Amino acid sequence: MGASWLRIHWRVVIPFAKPGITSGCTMVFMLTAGALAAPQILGGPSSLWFTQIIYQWFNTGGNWPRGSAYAIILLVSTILIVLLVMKIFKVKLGEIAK
Amino acid sequence: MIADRVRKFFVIGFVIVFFSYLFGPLLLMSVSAFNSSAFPRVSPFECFTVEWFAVLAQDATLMEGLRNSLFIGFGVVLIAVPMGLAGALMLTQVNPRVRPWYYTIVISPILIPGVVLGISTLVFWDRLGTMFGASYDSIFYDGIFLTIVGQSTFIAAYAMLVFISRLQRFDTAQEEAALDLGATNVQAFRKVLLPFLKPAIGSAAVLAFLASFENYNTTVFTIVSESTLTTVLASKVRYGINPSISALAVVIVVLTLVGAVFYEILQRREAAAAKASEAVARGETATRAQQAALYADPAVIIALLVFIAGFGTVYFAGTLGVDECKVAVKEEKQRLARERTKMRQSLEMFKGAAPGVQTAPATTAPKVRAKGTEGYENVFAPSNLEETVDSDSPAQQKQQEQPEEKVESPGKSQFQNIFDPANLQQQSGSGGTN
Repeated sequence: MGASWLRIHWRVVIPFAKPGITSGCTMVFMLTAGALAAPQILGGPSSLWFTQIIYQWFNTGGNWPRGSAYAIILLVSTILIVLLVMKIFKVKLGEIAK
Repeated sequence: MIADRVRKFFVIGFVIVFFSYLFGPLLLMSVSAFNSSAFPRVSPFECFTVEWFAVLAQDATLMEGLRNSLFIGFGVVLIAVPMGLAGALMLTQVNPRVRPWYYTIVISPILIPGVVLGISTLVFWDRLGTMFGASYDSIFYDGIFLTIVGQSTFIAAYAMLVFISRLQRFDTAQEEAALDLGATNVQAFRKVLLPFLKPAIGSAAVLAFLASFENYNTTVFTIVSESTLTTVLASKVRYGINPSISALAVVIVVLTLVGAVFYEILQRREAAAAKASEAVARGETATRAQQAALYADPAVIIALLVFIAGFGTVYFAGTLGVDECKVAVKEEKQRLARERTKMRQSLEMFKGAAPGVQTAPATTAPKVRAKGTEGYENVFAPSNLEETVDSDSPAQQKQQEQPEEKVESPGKSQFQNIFDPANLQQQSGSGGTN
């Protein structure tokens, strides 16, 4: 109906793809937030990731309960962030789960 | 149209950038596996060698980690694929209102950080072992078992995703027809559903094996006292690496390539056979032409020859003449080092020893003096060889700054006070304070 190419994308295509985009973003965010190998090998001492701290508490710190508590904090905070972003962009859980 | 050309240009440019970003590090690593320098590097490329593959094969910890990884991979496939299949089938059967919640719960192990899965597996089985009073040798603390179990949690979810997408194209009427015709539920599952899912089972198995092979986050916690390939590599990287790791990357890449080529050949043969069958069914040809056996297929033969020739070339190129090349490289490095030291020495002599050519102010001259060389400053200056009576030239002024007096014989001027016994106290004193 005469809409420009940009408008078509912004108004029609992207809202339809929203659940797919959200699902992809969630997956990327969770996988990155929980990554351990890449920061261990590529990172230096000035950039310490939370997962590295958890690993250190288990390995050299020897304090398993503390490491487990940190792991729960990581889990809860990532889930909260994902749910918050889903609420802001008005994506319902059922849409992602088709 | 210009817009089309611009779009095509950007699409092609994006594809090039995407694939180079993805495969660039892999390519560089593969090239560094054939470089003879002790640290993996691409430039300078010293000698083409395959010795790092031998080093890789002799690395006992790495080989043990590889064996453990393969064993764990097979175990995970055996557990995760049936679990994924069950989860996918359940999704089709469950109440539509519950379906989103069920899906979220079953898909959550993929989203949960791998470290959390590893820690929870470890702690859970530790608690269970304490409850049963098991010793530390029992299965509750066995690294291989814990890793298989811990990895299966989220790899089953990956397998479930594969099965869900395949099941969406399944026509349930087929299953209902089987049930109508008198099959039991088990028979309907075994004879109708499973054959339809066969390609999905294959891809889920491959996916599960690869996901288990490359997993690090969960494995590093659940592997307790054993090791897998990923944990061995991670610990190696911290203590210093040699190109045997690059050699491992080359091995994996080559295996993948060989597998992909033969898989493609098999697919094409099946497609050709299917087309021939269709032609017969349509009545175009009377009988199906006999397809060549796998070992006689020209594509297979050509692929085998190319691979064997490639391996042979690389092997011979990498083993012939490597020692001479290494000796030549070492000599070149030594020659460069000698030249550098010679240049540095001449520069120092240049600066500190020649009074006729004052390149630096006189105040810097004492700085280049080494310990115990007081009085020797102007020893190598050529002007000292002649009779030195003139006091106007700067050489004379420099000489007159020295504590030595003018002497009659040439060349002896600087050594005047050395052999004087009276100077023994002074020299030792000045030498001692330095």
